Amino acid sequence: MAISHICLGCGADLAGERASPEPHYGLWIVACPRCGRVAARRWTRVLWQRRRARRVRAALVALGSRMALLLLATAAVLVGAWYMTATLDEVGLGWEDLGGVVSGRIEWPAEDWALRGGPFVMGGWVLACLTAGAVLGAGLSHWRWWAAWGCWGALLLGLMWIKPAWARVDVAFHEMTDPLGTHGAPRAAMWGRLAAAALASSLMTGLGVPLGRLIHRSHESAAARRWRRLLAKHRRRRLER
Amino acid sequence: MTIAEERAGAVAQEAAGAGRAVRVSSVAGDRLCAGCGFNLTGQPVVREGQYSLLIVRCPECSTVAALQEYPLLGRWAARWAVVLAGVWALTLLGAWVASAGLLYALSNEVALEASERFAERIVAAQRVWLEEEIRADETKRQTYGWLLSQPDNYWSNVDASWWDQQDAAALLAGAGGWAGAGKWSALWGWVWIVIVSLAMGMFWSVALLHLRGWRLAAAALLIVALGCGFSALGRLETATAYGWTGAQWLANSVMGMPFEVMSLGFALAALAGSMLIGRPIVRGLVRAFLPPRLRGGLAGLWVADGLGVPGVGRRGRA
Repeated sequence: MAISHICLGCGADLAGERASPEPHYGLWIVACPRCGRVAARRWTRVLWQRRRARRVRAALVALGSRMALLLLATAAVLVGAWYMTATLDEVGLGWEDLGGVVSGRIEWPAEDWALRGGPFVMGGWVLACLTAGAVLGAGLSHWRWWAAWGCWGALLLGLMWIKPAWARVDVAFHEMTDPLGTHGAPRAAMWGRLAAAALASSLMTGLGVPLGRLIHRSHESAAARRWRRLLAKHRRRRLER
Repeated sequence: MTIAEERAGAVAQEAAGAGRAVRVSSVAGDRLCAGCGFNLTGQPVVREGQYSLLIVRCPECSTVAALQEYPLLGRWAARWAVVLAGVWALTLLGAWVASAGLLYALSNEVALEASERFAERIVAAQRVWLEEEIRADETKRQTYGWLLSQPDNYWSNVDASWWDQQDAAALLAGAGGWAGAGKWSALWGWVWIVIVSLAMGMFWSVALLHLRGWRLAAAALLIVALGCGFSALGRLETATAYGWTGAQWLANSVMGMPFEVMSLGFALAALAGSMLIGRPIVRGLVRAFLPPRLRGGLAGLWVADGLGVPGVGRRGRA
């Protein structure tokens, strides 16, 4: 038996009336045979809920993948910066000395640097920073680039101090050695060195942001091309009919 | 005819045919387009001129949704709805038990760590007794010799028969009571309770989208109440095997309760607070990571609190 459908105008039951497609709005409508008032019918809620679930799933996948990618890229930059700090420490340099190296004021210990695997560490750090920049540029495309970059830099600065802070907490409360292998007990100088590492990593990451924007724009224009093709196809079909 | 011309023709046709269309309000709730799933919240509701129907047009795919309508709910739709509701209820039930279990485990861990010093005191008292036993009867060295050769630790084994003869309350009083004997640095475990509570609060504030304010806090109470139930069950069990039991477990059973209760109380406060701030945090994450186009599917996060979705629809401006 058909589900009851009462006319809001006169109270007649329209359950027996057959719905017909309305050409202008694309709705399925029923006209009341008694008072002439028009009512619409719609597709089942199951269809509606399926589309809703698809939309929610798409949003959740986008949210999860962006968060995971940014988390991974940030972790890679952190590890790269920590290793770079340690390797620079081993050759007797600090982040602040790199400017002097570039200007020629400080001699670059090339041999010692190569012996300690410096080129690999630096390559990894640069790659991690550029990847993080690309992820920032593409994943947070709805942010202004400087806002995304600035916020991420501040976050990096905070995260950079996790390792020595963890070591300090561990030493103070559990009387254990540093589980993450910080080079020595946390010293005041280390905080400044890590801030320099965060600054250098942020600057390097900034170079990757335009790359991410470029990737995002090309992806968007490819999607727009797909839509245009689809719409043109539908239009051709309509005109053929 | 180009697409633009065709679209312009359709708009002109609509303007002519439905020229008397009157805007009556805007969609304030969570309503998705039947064509593409776009959330129509904030879109204007108009009474069109042809049939006097209340309609709203999707700004993304231009499908018209009628608002005066009777859904064609078939029998299978209702059955599926029941099945899905059942699955959702079971999921929430499982999450409730898991949340309570996790909070209980963290609180119990704090209580165990807080009992370490008293456990070492029990082991030291047992050592005195063991040495006396061996002095009185040298043959007992075979049984207790190995235990005596081990350093005293809070995880050492304790002879259950010896423990049964002890006055645990007197032993604890001798150690300065639970407050004096407790290792207060164990309360650093509360940092984990805060982190886990924050994650749980975010989950529950979204899972219980229909609840707001103190009702959400009451849900936190239900979770911690079940955790207290687990705690009570845990204190009923015995951990004696082959006449031996763990010193830390004994110490926890004697003096761990105040630390466990304190930790569960703290967990309640942390979870209730996290539930209240959980939804705004999730909304902030969605705003930070998703462009407005993708936020529509999660519009319920805003609509549940009577807010406009930022960047979606007329009301929402990021």
